[in-house]
Amino acid sequence: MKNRLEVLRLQKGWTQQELAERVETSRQTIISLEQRRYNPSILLAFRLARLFEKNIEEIFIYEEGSEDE
Amino acid sequence: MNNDEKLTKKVRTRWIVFWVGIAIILLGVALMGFAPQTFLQLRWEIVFFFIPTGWAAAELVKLSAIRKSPEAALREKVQNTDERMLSLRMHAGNIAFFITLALSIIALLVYSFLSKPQNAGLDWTWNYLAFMVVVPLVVYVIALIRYNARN
Repeated sequence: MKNRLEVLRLQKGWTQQELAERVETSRQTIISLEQRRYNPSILLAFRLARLFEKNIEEIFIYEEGSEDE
Repeated sequence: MNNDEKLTKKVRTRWIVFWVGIAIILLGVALMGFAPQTFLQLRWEIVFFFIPTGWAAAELVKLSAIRKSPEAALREKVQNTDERMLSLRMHAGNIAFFITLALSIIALLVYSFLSKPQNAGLDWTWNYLAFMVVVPLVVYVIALIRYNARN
């Protein structure tokens, strides 16, 4: 699943650690999300969406067959 | 009980486990020298005392870091609640479970082939190995049924 997490984070001027702390997760999780190695739970997706004041679909872009990644 | 009190209580119990383990290890070493026929043999000590002592020592190092720095406390909290970490642990645990089960089955088969059936009395090794195969599978199935009903 594609996402715009890194772009949005850089727009805010936050480090990966700062973003991790704001959504109460680890820096490794943020790194994995940005590198598209991990798909977040719906709860984490909502927390990120609220933080960036966006809809989930504006951050995470679902593509057919992306579960195979 | 606030977080500081909880931490102090945790540290105190780990120290107790640690020192009890050390005392018994020292006692065991002394007995091996002076009275080698005593029940406190090295294998028993490893199982019952080295493992808890090692665990307590590792916990004390971790708790000491938490006490010294709030960042370490936060990292610890995140490590225990981070969804990716929990998912990785569950995945690793699942693999470890099936490998352990497979090894137990192999051990049971090998022991069954190699040992002679005992007419008198129970073969505790065979029973224990069978227990090691059956009980985890039963627990696994019951857990699956319960989680399936709840979620």
